[in-house]
Amino acid sequence: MKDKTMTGLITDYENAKYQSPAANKMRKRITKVLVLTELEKEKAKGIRANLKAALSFINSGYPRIPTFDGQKDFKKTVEESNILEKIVIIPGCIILLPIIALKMGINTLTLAKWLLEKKSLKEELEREGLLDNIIAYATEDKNDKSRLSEQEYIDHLLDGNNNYNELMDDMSEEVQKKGRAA
Amino acid sequence: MNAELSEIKYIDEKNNEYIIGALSDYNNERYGLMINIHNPIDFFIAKIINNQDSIELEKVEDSKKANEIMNDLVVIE
Repeated sequence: MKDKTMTGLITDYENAKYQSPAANKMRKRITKVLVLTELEKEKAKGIRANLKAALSFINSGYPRIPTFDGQKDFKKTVEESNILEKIVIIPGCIILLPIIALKMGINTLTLAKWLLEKKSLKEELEREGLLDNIIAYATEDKNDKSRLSEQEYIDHLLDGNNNYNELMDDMSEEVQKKGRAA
Repeated sequence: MNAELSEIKYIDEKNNEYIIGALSDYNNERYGLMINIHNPIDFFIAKIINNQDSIELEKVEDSKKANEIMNDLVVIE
């Protein structure tokens, strides 16, 4: 396939939003579609291999821990399930952290913080050169659309979960107020 | 089709280069997991729309929909 230029838009999900200046910031315009170099093909192959392992983990149902049975402490359940350890050792899981967090029903910020809290994992992450990625995830970025919004987070917490106080500790004071009000 | 898709990259205005990591035919529409080849931490799910002379990628912002699409994603070889 020869190089060719194509134009297109990476647009927002709802077309109506395109009219607002804020929505324009979310647009990404595709200016070119090019063939990968040989080196990039190898790199892509590695990324896809990792992705395969990560998707297999995500879709296996393993992260679907009994979070919202109202009986168990959420964080304790996560620790007992060894999910955090698996996330670190399965290639590709780190880059898909926002999706794993989504599957678990928590936000990426919280999941990243829990990973950093575990000293043994922190050392492993550092050895694998992944620590910077986790720190980036643990740094709040309100423009990261891959994360649950604050309201979605609250809705999720209130949806059948009677033991969410510990999770609330990870949230900002403002969000906590909203949660109590809800 | 998949073999061809696996060998191309999409470049945006800021020169970010994305590859398609995985595909999903969700509700009879094609979706891709787009990954920045130089910075895999930068990724998103997008609907792939093939027009006559252009390709459009419509980013999925709805987290619930993204979650459902994730269940059907197949990594391209």
